[in-house]
Amino acid sequence: MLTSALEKLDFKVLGTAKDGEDAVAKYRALKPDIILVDVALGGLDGIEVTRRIVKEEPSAVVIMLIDESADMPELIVEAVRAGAKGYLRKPLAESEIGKRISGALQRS
Amino acid sequence: MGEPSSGTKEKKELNILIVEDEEEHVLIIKDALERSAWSKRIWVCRDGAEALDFLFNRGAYASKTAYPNPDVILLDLRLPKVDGLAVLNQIKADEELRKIPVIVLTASERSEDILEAYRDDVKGYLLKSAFIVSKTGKMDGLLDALLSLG
Repeated sequence: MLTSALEKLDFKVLGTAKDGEDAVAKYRALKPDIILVDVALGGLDGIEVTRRIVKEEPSAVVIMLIDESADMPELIVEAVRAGAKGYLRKPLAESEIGKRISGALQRS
Repeated sequence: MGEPSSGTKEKKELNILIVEDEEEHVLIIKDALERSAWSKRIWVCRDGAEALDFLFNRGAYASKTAYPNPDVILLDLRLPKVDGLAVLNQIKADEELRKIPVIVLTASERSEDILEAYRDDVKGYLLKSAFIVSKTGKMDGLLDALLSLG
């Protein structure tokens, strides 16, 4: 779902990772401009993934994704300390802006 | 006074309010948004008091028709007159305005700011350093992609 939303906006999704170790490996191999990391990632957690990526590339843009229902503000603070550039709460697609963007894209 | 500007590619219009006092950042944010495929009206308020006037249709912004509720608010935190977090508190205290998604765009990495914005249920908190390099071309369109995630 996320991949298709990004591709509709002409972003090239270089890869998706199944867990934290895979995320770090894919980052090394693909060197994307933006890395979206689910904070509740399996394996290495999202914080550790962020830390490892930013250690290798301090200018990497890592953004955490967090479920709307989750209540984990301390994790977000920790992620930013680890070098994340912020967070977004999922799902944005159910918000009014998401609906309107989806509608506009379907008509185009 | 906020100023509107319009995109032209799509028919459906999205109203976006940018609350930002630094002119250079206003230009970069607008530049990123204007690359998106959807049509939009962008308003800019340069301080927190002006943003509250806009949102509550007061003073120069009294007309609800001319200044409707935005579909999304991009909010800086360090603002003249009324701080961004105070603006956020007033948005969230209002029955109607609280439904508008707010994305904080800030240079602040302070834990207190992150936690308070989180408690006020913002849709996102993004450090300006993630996209302020968009002028280089590396991250063109980052903002519109982020706004459509789901």
